[in-house]
Amino acid sequence: MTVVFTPDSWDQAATTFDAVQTSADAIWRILEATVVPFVSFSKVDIAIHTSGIKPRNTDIAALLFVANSRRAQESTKLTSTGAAYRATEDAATLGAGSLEAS
Amino acid sequence: MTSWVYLATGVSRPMITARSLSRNQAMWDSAVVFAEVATTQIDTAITALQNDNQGPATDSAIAALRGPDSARHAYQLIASAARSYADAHGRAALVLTQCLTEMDAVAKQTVDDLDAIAALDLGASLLAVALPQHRLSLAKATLQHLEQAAADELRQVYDFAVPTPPGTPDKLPTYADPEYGSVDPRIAALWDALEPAEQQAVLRAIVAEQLAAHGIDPANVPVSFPTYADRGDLQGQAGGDLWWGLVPSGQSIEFNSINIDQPGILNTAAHEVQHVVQDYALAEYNRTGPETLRQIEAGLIPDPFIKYGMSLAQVRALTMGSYESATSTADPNYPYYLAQPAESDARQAGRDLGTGMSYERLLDLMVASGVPIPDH
Repeated sequence: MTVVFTPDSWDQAATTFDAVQTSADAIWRILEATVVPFVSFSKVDIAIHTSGIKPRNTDIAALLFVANSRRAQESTKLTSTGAAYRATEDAATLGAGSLEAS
Repeated sequence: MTSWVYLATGVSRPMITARSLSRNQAMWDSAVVFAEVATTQIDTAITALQNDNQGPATDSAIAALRGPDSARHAYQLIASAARSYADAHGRAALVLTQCLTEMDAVAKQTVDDLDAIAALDLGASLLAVALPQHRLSLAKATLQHLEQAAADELRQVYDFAVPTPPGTPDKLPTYADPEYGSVDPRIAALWDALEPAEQQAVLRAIVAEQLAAHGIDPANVPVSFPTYADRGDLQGQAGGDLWWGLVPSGQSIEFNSINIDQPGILNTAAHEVQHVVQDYALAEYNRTGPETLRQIEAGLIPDPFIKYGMSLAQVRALTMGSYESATSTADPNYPYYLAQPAESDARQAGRDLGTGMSYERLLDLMVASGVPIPDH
């Protein structure tokens, strides 16, 4: 089995993963700036702003929370993987699966 | 002129916040793009890893990075959810527009029918009173049916679930009342480091800047920082000590000095300025004759309300609603208070400034106010 490793590539991948945070931050700002659409109908009938639309924004907030947490964990894994490769300097000594990113 | 039909029937013409809906749709469209960019960035990194590494450990790592528990998958879910929101807002706008068109048609038909009844020359007979009343009752029922149908349809439009992966928290920590928006945590930390006098100076700078941006001389709008005790009229009211800002006369702004240490007060500054701007716009609207308003509406003369950041239609919307007050979120009137165009518009202005403010922008404001930047 051919095993090729380039330690720096894992660090570079980690750097790219870190850069993802810029996009995630942009989503976060959008999330916070997005408001519940209000439609003021006659009081006697309905006010749509009370119909539970607003909490839905938190669904994406929660998703973003998860995505960002995982991204940070994955970035750390990538960095540590590169460091591990660099330390051994011998791919053959690395057991299959020993450097899994999760 | 059909607006009196709404008044006579007690049915409110739906206040369509087309700007709000369009803005939401555009923002969620942007969120889709950012989520897709995030996914692409991750794909780029994975591809580079594949090109430079081979072996079972690499395969395993890449499989995990692309798997269902990966960040990549979560960003994909965000893109999908954001797209759903954008679509929903777009469809909601259509529902509202259709509802408004139909309601206005009913109002116009009512006017026409009442004119026709008047032309019957029924004199002082009972019919002269009963027929118009009956016609208005019919109009009321139809208008209520239309708005109820639209409301039901809107609920359906927004009735969709966003898939969330395992481990998603039910509730996220926030650092501000979402109605007020929120601020960058770095801004919150910096704000916390300022002395009250420095916070006041920055708030004054924001107010002056925002007023000037709308063509209003800041010298005409005094800013003060009363304490709770100073506002005796609010004492005893639920939430009386919770108020952050007031525009008591439309010509001045008061910040509750108890709350200026909260970073959300930055939103409040823009919020209260917007109420002042609204007052100026409404004053000009009330001074403008009907013929001039008609010409503005027809596009024959430039819309003078643009300088306030509003269109004639938006200024007119401000005249709708009685600006009901609510002193706390527990107040039964609170949803209606929030829904009033004047309040919603001001809250949006607050969110635009507070949420949109960068850390560097606050530093600039501090420098402009003569406030030293603390070490932290």
